[in-house]
Amino acid sequence: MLPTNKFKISCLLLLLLFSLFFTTGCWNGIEVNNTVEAQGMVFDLEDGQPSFSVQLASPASPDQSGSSKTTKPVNISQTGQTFTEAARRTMLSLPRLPLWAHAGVIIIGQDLANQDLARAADFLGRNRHVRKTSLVFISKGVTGKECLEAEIPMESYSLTGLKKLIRIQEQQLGYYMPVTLDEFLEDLALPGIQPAVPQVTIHEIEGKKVLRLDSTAVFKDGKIAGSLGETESQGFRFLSSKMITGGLIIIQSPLDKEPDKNKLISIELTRSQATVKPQIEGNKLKKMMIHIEAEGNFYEQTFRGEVLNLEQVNNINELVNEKIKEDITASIIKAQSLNSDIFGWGRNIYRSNPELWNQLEKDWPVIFPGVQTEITVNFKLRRAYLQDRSFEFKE
Amino acid sequence: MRYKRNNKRLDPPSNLREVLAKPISAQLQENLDDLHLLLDRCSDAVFKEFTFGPNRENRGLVIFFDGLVNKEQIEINLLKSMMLELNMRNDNSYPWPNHDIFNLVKESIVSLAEVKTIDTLQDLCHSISSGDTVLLIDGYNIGLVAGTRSWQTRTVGSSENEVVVRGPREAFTETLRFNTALIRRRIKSANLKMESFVLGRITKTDVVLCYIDSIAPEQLIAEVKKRLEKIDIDGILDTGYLEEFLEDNHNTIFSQMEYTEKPDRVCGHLLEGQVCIMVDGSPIALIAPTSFPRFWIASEDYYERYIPASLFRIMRFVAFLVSLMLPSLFVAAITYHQEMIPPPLYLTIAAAREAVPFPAYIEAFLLEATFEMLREAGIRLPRGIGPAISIVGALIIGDAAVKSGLVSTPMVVVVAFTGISSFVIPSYNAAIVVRMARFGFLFAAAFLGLFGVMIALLLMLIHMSSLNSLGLPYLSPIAPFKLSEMTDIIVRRPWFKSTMRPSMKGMENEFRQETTDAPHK
Repeated sequence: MLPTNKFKISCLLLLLLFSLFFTTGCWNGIEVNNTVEAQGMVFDLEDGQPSFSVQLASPASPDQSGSSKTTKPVNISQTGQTFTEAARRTMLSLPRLPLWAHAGVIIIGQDLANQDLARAADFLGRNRHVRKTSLVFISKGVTGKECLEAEIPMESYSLTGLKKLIRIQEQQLGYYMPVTLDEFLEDLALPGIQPAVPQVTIHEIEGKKVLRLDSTAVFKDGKIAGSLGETESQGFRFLSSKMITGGLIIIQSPLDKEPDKNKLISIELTRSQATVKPQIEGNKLKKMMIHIEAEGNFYEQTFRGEVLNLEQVNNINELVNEKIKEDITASIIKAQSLNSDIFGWGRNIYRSNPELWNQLEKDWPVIFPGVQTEITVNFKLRRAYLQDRSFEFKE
Repeated sequence: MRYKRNNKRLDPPSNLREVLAKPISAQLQENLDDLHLLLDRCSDAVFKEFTFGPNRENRGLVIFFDGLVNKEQIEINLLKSMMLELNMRNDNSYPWPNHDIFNLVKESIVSLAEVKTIDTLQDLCHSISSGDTVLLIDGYNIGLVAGTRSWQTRTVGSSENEVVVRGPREAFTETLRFNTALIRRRIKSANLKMESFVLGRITKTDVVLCYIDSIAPEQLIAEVKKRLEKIDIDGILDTGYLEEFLEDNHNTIFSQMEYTEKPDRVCGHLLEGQVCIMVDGSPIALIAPTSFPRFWIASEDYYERYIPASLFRIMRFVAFLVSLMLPSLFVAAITYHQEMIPPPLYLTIAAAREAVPFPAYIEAFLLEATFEMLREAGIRLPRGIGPAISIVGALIIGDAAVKSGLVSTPMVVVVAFTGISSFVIPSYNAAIVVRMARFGFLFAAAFLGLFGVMIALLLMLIHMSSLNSLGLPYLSPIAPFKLSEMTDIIVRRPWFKSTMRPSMKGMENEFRQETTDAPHK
């Protein structure tokens, strides 16, 4: 039997294919056993030097099957001349490749945020391993690294817990809005808007350091300018261009004229949408027209008396309108005092009248603190859950 | 090794060939000698010589193969009639012996339904091999063939490999006549044609080409006939032989014909203008032409109501994709695209893989290969040992391998899910394609990640679109795209909306029915 040319070639091809078996594969392929999942990244400044920390999830060994909940996170921290170097210097003590893309939370230390975000912004925006949907937080009163070491109850990895925490908080309480890295970088880069990012701090419960959300950091020119408290953060959230769902509003009883701390109504916000439009007359910005359309449900009253009738429901709507207006005004006053356009009004003006914005842009820091606003709120009470009237006590 | 084509090797030895070509002689003794030569060492051949006629001076010979004939019929309708009744007719109406005895016997003595005459020894051999009985009479150079075929057969039973919950259960058997009858019983039309061929130099197997004359395109029938007539092989034992002779593309893993053992399914295809080829001795009918999307259609889809049937089809399509690509997607994701896996899931996978010493693709390959071997073993295993393989499969592969850290649980889950999905595909030949292609995808994923999977998928689609099955594009009606037929591929339209047959080149009779309304309207 004489091997033909074709036969030789096909034999060779088969051999080549077979030898692929023993190669280690493509250069950027990596086995799961050689990787470790990063839960979150922290950017700090330590004595003026970039410091990078990462929380790693150590995989449970197989005999611990199923009970991976008990595993402790591994926190590694390194300093370097740049953040890239600091991040790569973690390999000095780490035998596995961290998968940065799994890091869902990025904490920026307050030192760095106070100084200049330019030191980290490019790293965050350019690096293809950093997930742009990660949530951004600023540490408050502590360094970012300290946040890493603090705990969150029920969660093995504090940073993963932080991600869940802010989402649940927004839905149930509605103080702080999660900010993704994408939004954060966009707000930093675009004219006419400044970022506002939720802050985390540490407080102690029974000797344990626990992470807690606390106020919203307001940026100006890539630095922290100040922060919004709970009420102001709530007002800031109402002004978000996105539709917001979930939240809690406390108002006075509509039955009494005098405010009474013991006679309150809790309203659950189901949805709210803000429309902000600049009112321009001639070639001058007159004021910002803010209109809120909101809906909510009656959740609780802390006094006697029937409020769930047509007349009182209208009163309740009015009171909620007033409350929302108050919150919004508070946040506007604060932002204007800090001279930081966190609401993106500049961008708003640009969208409705680009020419006017071109004139205003240069002087916007001077104009912004004095911008007048007109706020209208239209809140509608929708449902009252299991009781269609107020609780009745026997006479 | 190549041999020069040697016709002598394929044919009987030359002296026998000369004998075979001889016409039947008028001398009975000469025929007898020839036949003894031809059927030498054939212990099942029966020669029965007898004399008949008023003076017992006419000699006759009955030849048949024992086991293929109904002996009782021969005894009562042939021998008894000839040896007794013919003798009793010794009256003046039969001017014996001047009368043409052969015609007398053929027309008024032999009381069998099928009777014909032959005049060569070759035909004689073919007739007795088919189970007929041949009667030779001294002085006549023709033979009388009496249809006495009757042999032990499997009765028509329920289908073993194509099980349905709702719908006919009958399946073909090994006897061609039963099979054609099963079809004829369902399509009571003179347009149902069954053209007969005899293929195989030695086996002389009966092959039937079956179609509905007014529906199947004429050029298709002509083409199939042309290809069938070209076949020149020593034997045809199953329709599988014919599939390779009839298909257009040989160097491909995709089978271009469907096969079934269910007559109702054959009838469904005949009504859509396809042709069906059946072989004596095989319970499998070939259906051609076909296209790949039809492989995930089960006959039951047409018997079940259209909404569940459509959902089942969508599910089958998903299962098809899963069984084709799931292991490769998994390997690609955990080796190249870790960021695509949600973090908690990745953590679980990482924990499970912590102690596994192999790269992911080796692990996947080992498990897939083991599964294929288990499956192959399961088919060939004698029934009694069947449970053993499931114990070995479940315990050793499923449990011990994981516990000993050779493979990881997520991979076992992936491979098991893939295995189950591949059983969802109704046609076995499409499932085989998927099983083969899966390994190709796995390698592509191991070396190039998702990029490789996409390349493999594109190569497969390009290859598939270059195929055709007897002129029908292999991916039709997806490519070339036909919107009106999509309603019978991914979903099934209700029967009362189903006015058109799937189009085929040259088909003229395209309408199933006139109305498009449900009868109650």
